[in-house]
Amino acid sequence: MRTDVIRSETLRYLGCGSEIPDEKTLEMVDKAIALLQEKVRPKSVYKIIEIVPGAEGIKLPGVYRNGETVKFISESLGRVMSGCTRMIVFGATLGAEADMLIKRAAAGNIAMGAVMQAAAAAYIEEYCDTIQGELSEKFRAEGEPLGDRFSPGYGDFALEYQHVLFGILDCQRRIGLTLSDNCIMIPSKSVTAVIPIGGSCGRQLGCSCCEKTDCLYRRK
Amino acid sequence: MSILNELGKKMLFFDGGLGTMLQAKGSLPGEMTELWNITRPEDVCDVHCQYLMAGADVITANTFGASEVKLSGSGYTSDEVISAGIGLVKEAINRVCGEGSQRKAYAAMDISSTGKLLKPLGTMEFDEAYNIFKDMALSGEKAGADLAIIETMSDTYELKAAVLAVKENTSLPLFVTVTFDEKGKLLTGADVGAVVTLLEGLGADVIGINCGLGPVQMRPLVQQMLEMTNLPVLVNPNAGLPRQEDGKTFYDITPEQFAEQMELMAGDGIWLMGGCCGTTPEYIRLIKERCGDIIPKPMEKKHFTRISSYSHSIDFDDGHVVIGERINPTGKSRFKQALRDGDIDYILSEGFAQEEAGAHALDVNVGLPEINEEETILKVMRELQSVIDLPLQIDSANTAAMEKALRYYNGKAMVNSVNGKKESMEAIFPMVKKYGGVVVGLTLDEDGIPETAQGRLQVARKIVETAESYGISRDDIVIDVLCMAVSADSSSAMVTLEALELVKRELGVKTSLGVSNISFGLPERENVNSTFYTMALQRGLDCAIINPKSKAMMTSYYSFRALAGKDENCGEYIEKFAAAKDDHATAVQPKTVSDQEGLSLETAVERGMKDAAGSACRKMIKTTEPMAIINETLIPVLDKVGKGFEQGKVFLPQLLMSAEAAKAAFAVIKDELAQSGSGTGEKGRIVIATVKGDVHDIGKNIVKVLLENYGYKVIDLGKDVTPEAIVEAVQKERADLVGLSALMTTTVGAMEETIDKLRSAGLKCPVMVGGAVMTERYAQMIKADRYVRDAMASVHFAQEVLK
Repeated sequence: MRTDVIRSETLRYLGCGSEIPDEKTLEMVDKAIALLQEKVRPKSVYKIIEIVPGAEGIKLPGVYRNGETVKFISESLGRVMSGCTRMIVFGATLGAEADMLIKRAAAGNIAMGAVMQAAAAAYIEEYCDTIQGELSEKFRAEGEPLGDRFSPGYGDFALEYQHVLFGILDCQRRIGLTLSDNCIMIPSKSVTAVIPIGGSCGRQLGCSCCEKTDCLYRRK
Repeated sequence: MSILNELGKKMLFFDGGLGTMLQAKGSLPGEMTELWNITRPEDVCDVHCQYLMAGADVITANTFGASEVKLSGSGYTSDEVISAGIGLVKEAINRVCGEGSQRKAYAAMDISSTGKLLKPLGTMEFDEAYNIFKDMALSGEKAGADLAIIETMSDTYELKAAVLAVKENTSLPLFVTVTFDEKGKLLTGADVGAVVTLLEGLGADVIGINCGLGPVQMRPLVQQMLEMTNLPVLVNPNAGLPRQEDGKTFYDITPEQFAEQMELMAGDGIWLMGGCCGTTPEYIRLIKERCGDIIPKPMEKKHFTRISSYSHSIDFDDGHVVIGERINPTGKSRFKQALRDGDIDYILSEGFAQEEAGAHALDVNVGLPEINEEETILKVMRELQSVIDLPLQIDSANTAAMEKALRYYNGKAMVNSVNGKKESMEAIFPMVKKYGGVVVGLTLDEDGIPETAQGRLQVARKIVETAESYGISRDDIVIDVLCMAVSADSSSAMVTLEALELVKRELGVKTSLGVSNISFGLPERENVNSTFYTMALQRGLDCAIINPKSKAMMTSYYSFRALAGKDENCGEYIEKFAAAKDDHATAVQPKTVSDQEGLSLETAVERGMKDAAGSACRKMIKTTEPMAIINETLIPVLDKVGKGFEQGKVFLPQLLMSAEAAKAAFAVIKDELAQSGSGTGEKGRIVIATVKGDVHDIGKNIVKVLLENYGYKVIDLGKDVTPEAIVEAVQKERADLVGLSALMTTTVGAMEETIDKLRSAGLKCPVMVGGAVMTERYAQMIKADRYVRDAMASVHFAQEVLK
């Protein structure tokens, strides 16, 4: 994992994107990243699933929930998956230690709490990028490039579909990631996503597909 | 015949992976295969039969996830699925080992995680989990299970709820296996010691490890477990580590390799074995073939005194346990004030300071006549356990509070205390037996504290023997022979030390002392305390309740251990004091001192220098009214920093550093106000909470710190707070303003409901809302009074409302 990326992303989350922050902030950021590197036990799990994409979303013919095969109704997901017959369902978490570190830091010093929170967010993203990079390598070698990961909550891909992703991955058992009734992932520094295999991939959606145009962190 | 009678007589075999076999029969990802007990009973029964024919003695029913929460929406109740599941095992046993067969096989009720994380990490209440497990266990026993196995658990707190549910509601033999990762930890951080200590305390019959790892990776953990426990050990590994191929999962160990590894573990001393994910009847057939004739290795009784937290255990044989005494209101006006105000942060800060100073465990005493001790101890304990991983010593004279604390403690606690009075022993020992614990026994009884060492030994003996009559091992008793003020009786220290030695020698128990009593009534008490501590250590003291923040005491501790040959190469000593020397060196550099001390409160806060702000405020308060410091110094400088933040010139971490510095100044002011008893200086009361269903609270915590900086009393209800609890708090605290936070679109609904409930309760106080998904439009939709985009905006709104 690239510590420099975690560092610059942490600073971006803290609102010091383009400016050079003061020494004390930098010191806190480095301390937070070091603590995370020492304490967290990131884990991930993935599965390959057959899909049938369409304009209104995708069908998952091999996945059952309450006795029926599953459909994800989401135009944006339909676009992401167009031309694909398979996708990767992916889950990753920094684990409970990250939440404890944030809570501990915030209880002692709220500034450190905010920094730890940002650093943990940057850390899980970088962890996902690393795993996804490895998967991309593997699939590219087999002649099937992967697209970007796409998570419930992006575009019109409803958060409620988290229940299905969790069922497919058996997240609780495999990586200790749980889902609350309100579709909140616990531990909090976690990511679930679907990744298109093959198809018309190569698209870089990123911030551009998000409707929150006044977002503080939107990338130009 | 109960399976318990067979333990240790011959090797016992569990079945292998059930999910693996059902997958082979066509179960699909995401499918609740427990429903097959009803929809495809023949397939399930067939798998059980295959395992029986392969030689399994225990068949685990297909009830792993058959809890009410997981089955909701399936159309079947947990009871139906469990009854059918146990029925299928019995049917299989009947078919394979029925009439004419000499074989005896057992049906195990299988219980695993609810799939939710418990508070404080997650959203599920301990009691909610307990009730789910209780229902499962009751159904299992009713359906005729021969034993219960709680398996694949990855969190000690959920594990404790499950174990209590089975133990309190059924008489089933209880086997428990947990899942470690490759680093030897459960997902929520517990190591082998923490798991063993908890489970032995709670009275499981068999413990062990399943899933997560293959036998090769599991073996070192199994060996560790065998070294630590007096219970039989069960091992159910996966068929190696998983790998994905074409969307399917494969495991990397063959049945032959698996059996080879299991044979090694039988040699290490396990008494029961089977398999988990990826293992098939072939694996079980081979382990039975290879290990079936092995006579289980006899167990030697091991003696240890051990307590645990949710992450690790501490062993009294490793020496000289330091228990921090500072979380206790006795004689501390600021601490009392914090308890009355529900100021958890202050209490936590006492915990952090003691942990940093080197405490191994923390004593927790919140006894104050005017507060509800039962509620408070639970709250303080939970908060401490969410940020500090040291084991706790529950210190209470209130038996109801003690019972609650032991029930909800995550780990095996130290219990402070029992004494030789009949009434005390009758109250405390049943709790210790039920929840586990190491109990401090004070050598006093109905006749008071004996004056002689022999007298104290007699009381200690009574305590130990009575405990044993409750089934509590003397390994779980730590005797405190009590020390009395040497100023009142010059022989008291010597009597204590003599008694200490006597008790250790005669009863073979560990000892503890509350060291500081010795110096009562003397000046410069640390001199006497630290020397007495050294003397007691020399006589064999195992555990001391002291102030770890006292340099003199910790100097005694580290010096003694170095001198007694307990600190290899004086490593701990050097680590501790080499750093202290550096501190000293910087502290005497004249420039730094004058720099720090010369700083005004304004500058210290503006630059975010916590310590400097504290000392500047201490200086200032000698000449300036507390309220004047708040209004004329603190608030103006905070305004200045806040403005910089809003203009993008100051970044969030800097703003918060300033807030922390202001908080340090406030602590000084609060101390002053608490001591002079002249009110709290609050400017208005604000209730804040992260709403029901949401667990993100860093934003809310930032808002809290800033509001407090501006002199408001903030009642922080925490995260995942129900609308009802918020309404109740607003009424009770007569709040002037409410702040609600939600991070997810899915929890904005809870925010709306909260506002509704506040209004229909006739509460008119304004409500401000914030959080990542919140927008002006949302805020209007849910009828909030103000959308606050960041922490400074919430301060401005408070200023507007509470002019």
